[in-house]
Amino acid sequence: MEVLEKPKKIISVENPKHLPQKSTKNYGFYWLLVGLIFLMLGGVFLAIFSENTTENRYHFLENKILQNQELSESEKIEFCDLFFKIKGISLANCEKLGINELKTYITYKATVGQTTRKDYKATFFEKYPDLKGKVVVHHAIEQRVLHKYPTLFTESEIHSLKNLRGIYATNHNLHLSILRKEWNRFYIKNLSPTREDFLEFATYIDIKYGQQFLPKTPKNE
Amino acid sequence: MNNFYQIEPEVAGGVGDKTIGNFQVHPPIIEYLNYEFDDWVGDDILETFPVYIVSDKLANILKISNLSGFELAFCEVSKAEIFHDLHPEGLELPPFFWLKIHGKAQKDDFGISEDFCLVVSQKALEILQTCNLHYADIEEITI
Repeated sequence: MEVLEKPKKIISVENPKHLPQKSTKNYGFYWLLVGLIFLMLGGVFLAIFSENTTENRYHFLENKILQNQELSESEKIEFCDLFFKIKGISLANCEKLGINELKTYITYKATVGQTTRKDYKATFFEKYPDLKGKVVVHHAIEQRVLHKYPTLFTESEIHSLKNLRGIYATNHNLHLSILRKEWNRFYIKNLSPTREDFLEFATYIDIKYGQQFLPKTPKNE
Repeated sequence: MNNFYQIEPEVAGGVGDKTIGNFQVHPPIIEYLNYEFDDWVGDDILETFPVYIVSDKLANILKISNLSGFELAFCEVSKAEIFHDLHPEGLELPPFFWLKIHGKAQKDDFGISEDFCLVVSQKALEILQTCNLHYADIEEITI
């Protein structure tokens, strides 16, 4: 006996609308967008992670130095590299620096003292008589601050020994011109500089250019 | 296309005691300028934030130029104590003029950018370079 099969759904070939249609929408653009978003998120994550790693590594080495633990030559180079990345100051002859010198760079802070004398050159050469004729004396925080920001520092502080620096008499013009440009950038960037801003910037200058001063800064006291 | 350059001129000193201005605002507003020299390494355009000065040689060239965005005004010049220490044999300074910039950066020949830097056109730079401009940092502005 012949069994009749149940007829299958008849699909008309004349009318292709009955055929399952392939989507004509282009999803490539959306995938590209999703990919880009993931890439950006990855970049942000990487940046945060690497910044944290840099900071963490810097603080790890900094703590080692502060605890008087000796650093290997490669660690010293790494520390100086991180010091430059974080503070913008390049330390010369890094691998040769001793633990005390490295510690000084970390802990040094420029300060001002007190004096009753307006003759700042006399104050400086009284302390460093051997430097007379070898250096010109200039103020770390300039005297003009008294006129521009009269409430931040007193005359006694500006002329105090702690605020005075000796600059080699030879090549002085070039060194001083670089320092003036640095301070000019400080004034441009600081909307309303505070006393702390000035001292912080003087610290930066002392560390960055201190090898050109006599006596050199920062110094171990 | 006109190129523009950011210039950071030599800083030869600062504002002297006779300067009258308001330093509590940013940028400070200067009404009377006393430029006090600490030293001078020879450039014809100098800065001390927020002002610029030019030597009489450069001022005379600028006066006859058709450059836009500036005016020249009187400037009192003085020497700080350190100037005499650096030049015990004496160093004569030429007269200087206050270069007041009122132009728009990247539009006029002289302008001040949003981050308070001097911006000059190619034409202005070429004129500045006819005088001494050895200690200025110059950077082309790329968009």
